[in-house]
Amino acid sequence: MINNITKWLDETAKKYPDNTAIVDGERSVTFWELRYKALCLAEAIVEKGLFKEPIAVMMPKSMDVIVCFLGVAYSGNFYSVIDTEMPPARQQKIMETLEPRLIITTLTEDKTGDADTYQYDYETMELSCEEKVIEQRERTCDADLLYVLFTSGSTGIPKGVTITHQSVMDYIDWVEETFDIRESDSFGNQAPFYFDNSILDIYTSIKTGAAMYIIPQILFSQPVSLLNYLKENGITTIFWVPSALIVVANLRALKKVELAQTLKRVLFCGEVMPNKQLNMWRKSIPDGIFANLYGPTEITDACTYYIVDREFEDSEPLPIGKAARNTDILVLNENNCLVGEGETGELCVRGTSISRGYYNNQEKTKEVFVQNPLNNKYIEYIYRTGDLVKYNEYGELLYVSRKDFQIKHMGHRIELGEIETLVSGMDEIEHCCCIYDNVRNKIILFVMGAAVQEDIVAYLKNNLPYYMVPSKIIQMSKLPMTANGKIDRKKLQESI
Amino acid sequence: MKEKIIVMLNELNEDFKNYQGEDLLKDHILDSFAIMELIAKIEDTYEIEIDADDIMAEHFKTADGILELVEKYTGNRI
Repeated sequence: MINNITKWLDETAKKYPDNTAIVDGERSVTFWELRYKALCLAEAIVEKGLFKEPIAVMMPKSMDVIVCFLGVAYSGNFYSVIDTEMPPARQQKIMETLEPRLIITTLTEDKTGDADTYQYDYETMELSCEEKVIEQRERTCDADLLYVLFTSGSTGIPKGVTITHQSVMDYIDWVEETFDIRESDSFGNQAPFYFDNSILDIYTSIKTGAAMYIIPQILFSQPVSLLNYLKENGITTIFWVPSALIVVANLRALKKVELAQTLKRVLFCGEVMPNKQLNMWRKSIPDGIFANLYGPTEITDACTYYIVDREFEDSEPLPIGKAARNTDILVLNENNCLVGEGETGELCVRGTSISRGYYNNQEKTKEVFVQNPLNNKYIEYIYRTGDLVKYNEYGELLYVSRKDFQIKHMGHRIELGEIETLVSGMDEIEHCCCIYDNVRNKIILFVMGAAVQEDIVAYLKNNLPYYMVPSKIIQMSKLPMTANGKIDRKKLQESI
Repeated sequence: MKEKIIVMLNELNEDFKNYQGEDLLKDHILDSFAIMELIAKIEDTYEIEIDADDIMAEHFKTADGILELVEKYTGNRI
């Protein structure tokens, strides 16, 4: 019996063979075709003798990436997607940690170094014998890894979050049930595939038979066209970062396009959703379900949720709600005890959704995946999120702040320390500090040293994805210090 | 008016100063969030309200494109 995520595509391809699985611009694929192409790729991987090995998928966002994810899963290996727009230096760091045994790519130029590559070509892939895939597939169980997703790391090296089939299956079971997703639904995908919000779109679609529309990126810069796209394609469900929802609301696009008849669910995750814009959306879709999901990559996309069930003033915090099924939330104070009502503590998670740790990084894994301090009877790991939360009078969780210098910027999780580590490594930089301007949503870098501003910018761009490059660099003759010799971040924060 | 728009673009992203390319969106000088901020600044400065239908990527590829859009509303009055 097959007990991994590929069983869902088998079932859906059998039940709805001709239903559209993915729409990507002018291209589309049915569930039957998706399964067939995934098996073609799986066969090629199996022929290379790979099993339970890391495989990198390096290609621009497209339906082909999903074919690759599934092909790797059918072959009994696990994938990691490498963003092709990412600077080569960062790609290199990820490759060094992942050590992929195979790189699947559509790129013609060689960006892959020494690793074995497979030149992906959707049109020419054919299956010679499905039997070849069966053995490895049957030997892949739910406890095996499905993917490794890289997030920002404070030491300058991205961390690879490992996620098993079981974590994704449990999460998607919960999504399907909680939001009542059916074959007649369709997803409007915004999240890049290197961002774990996309897990919900991809795998809920595969499990339920709902179609997934990959929304062309350009539409996010023209909100009326974006909403028309949702309406014309009958998109019923979106799961976007709040930034995208805010832009649509602020640019008054909701008044231009009637969405109430088609769009049923608006889910969001990744940063704080302001009530002002949320209320604009709710007014526009009065019968819609709006849900605030919360969760770091280490907990398979989301671990708490709040379905908006009452009115909120602009200044009120929107709850992150309660634990999703398969997870349990522990809010621990500094003494590792559960907090009392109104008391702030660190949100810690246990359950089947938590990652198995960081790939090839025992040290970082041990820091945040720790023994549950409330359980001294058997080994049980919890993940310490570093997010401070408290309960409100309804027993719902409220996000308070970060414990460290991690931020959420345009939906991406960023360790400011990663930028600082990188800049500190430059010649002619004596000291630096990164601050996040919460009002203008900008990363600001303060530097001390003789380095020329243009050189710093060029260096950052060569090493960081565009969303991590500070939008302002301020050169100072001296950085303010606290009494105990640390950079006075508070003072810098106040100066911006 | 173009100078003012250039100042606004510089404030949004310092990279604009040295930008030689032909597509601010493609090259990540502007993203959807920056467009939102830019529109808010333009509307405040020129006391206009830009119709959401006019917020199309083609207007935001270059400073001249943005200028053309603003002039549609101000009628070259500034």
